[in-house]
Amino acid sequence: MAQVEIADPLYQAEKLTREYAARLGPSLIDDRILKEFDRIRDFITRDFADTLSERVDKYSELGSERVESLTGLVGDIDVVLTHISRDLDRCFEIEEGNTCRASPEAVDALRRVEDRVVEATGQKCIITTRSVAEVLNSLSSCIHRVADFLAETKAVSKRCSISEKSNPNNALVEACKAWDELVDKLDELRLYAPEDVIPLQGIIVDDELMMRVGSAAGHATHIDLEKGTLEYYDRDENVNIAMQNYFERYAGLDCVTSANGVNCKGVNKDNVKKVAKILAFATSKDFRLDNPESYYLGNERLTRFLSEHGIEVPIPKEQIQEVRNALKEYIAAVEEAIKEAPTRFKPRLEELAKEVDDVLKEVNKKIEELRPLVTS
Amino acid sequence: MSVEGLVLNDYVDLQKDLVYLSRQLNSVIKNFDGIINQIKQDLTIPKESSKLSDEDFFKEFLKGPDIMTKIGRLDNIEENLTRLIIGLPTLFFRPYPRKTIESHEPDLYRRVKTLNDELSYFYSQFFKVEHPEIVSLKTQISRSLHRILSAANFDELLIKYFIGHE
Repeated sequence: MAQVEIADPLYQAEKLTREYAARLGPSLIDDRILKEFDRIRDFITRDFADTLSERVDKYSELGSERVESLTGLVGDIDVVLTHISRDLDRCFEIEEGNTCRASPEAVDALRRVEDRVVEATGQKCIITTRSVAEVLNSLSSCIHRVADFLAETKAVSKRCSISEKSNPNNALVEACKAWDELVDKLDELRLYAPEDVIPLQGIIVDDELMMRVGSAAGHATHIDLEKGTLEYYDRDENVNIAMQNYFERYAGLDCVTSANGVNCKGVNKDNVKKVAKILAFATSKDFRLDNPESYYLGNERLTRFLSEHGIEVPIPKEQIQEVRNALKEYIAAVEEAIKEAPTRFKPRLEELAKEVDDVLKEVNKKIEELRPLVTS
Repeated sequence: MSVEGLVLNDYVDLQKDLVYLSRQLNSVIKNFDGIINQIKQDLTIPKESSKLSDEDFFKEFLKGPDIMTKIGRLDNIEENLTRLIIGLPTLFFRPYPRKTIESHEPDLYRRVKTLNDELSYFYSQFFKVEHPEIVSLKTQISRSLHRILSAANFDELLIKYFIGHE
């Protein structure tokens, strides 16, 4: 595990800042220490920043709003490091080591870093801030909180992962697995557009399950078991109406639909598995609503499955009458149209064709007569 | 441009349209019996379906790919009806015969005008139920079928099966 941590640029940054802060204590500030600080700063603005950006993007795609505050984190850390660099230069001049005091600007910048960390992880990270070493130690603690929050994930099923550094809620893990299994079944029944299946995934961090439920941008879901909430993001009004109906009727949630999706209350450890399974029906729902003929009637696998499992399709009599009446009218109209076709339409059509040809001959003749007059 | 030049231009335009119309009419005449037979054949399947009870009618639709074939039959019928009338409306919307032709050759002008009127009258008489009405009936069938499928709510049937009853 230690090797994994060292290889992870987020934990590397934490280790580098922590060890540097420890070394500052007994040492006087010299050229070597200043150069080493520059190397740490380079590492944070390159490797650390790149990895942080990748992980934040990954969580953002899953619809996590919590990580939004981390998008400006590198910038704020860099401000801390800029002020610390000035403080170190100042202390180098006056030959101070662990007593090198941190400037108010460095401390203010560190507080801004902490604000972002609290917003994302819910945890504070500043320990003490009197000296430069203490500010760097606190900064290391803040980076550690973020690294833990964005730690690499471990797969628990085909499409579900847990954040290894978090304490994933078992009810959410089981819910995600149940969703994953149902996705496979519905996919076998050809209820999904192939492109929608590829990006499906769920990540569990503590009491939160963040899911990607389709290929469209922002088609995500966020379940917070601690708050008892479900946020389903979708811009398709018909899909949102259907999903609200399913969440309320089959999982007992209390939901409100807006232009951006469905927000529900009432999620708990007892119904979260049902909620997750209902979400399997959100994928490609728009396609199924628009093309019921091909996804349902034209879908042999589905109709066979329904028949084999004794699932009867309710027959809406009124609407069937409507189709049948329209079909009868259609047949009558076509039959009427072609009834006299061979005896009346065709002979007359032949006469008209002959007349067209005769007129055409006449027109050709007139053109021949006129052409010499015009060209001369 | 001289008066003769203007008249010649109008004759050349008229010539192009008559050539096109002649080709269309002769093509329809040549394939006429085949088209009518195909329409009759395509009508047999929806006619058989129309004799079934409501329940059997829907069950038949549930048999899978058959439904696509049936809807496809209606598409065939529509396509063939369109083949019968293709080209005929072309002349109606053109500003023929032109005044230049009328003044230059009144007899020919009258023949073209009469032909134009006859085609127009014939077209409207042939389809006692006009072609656009047939198209709208097919749209109505598709819409009704769409509503049936939405009302049947297959997703909800599966939710009940996989997740449990209300």
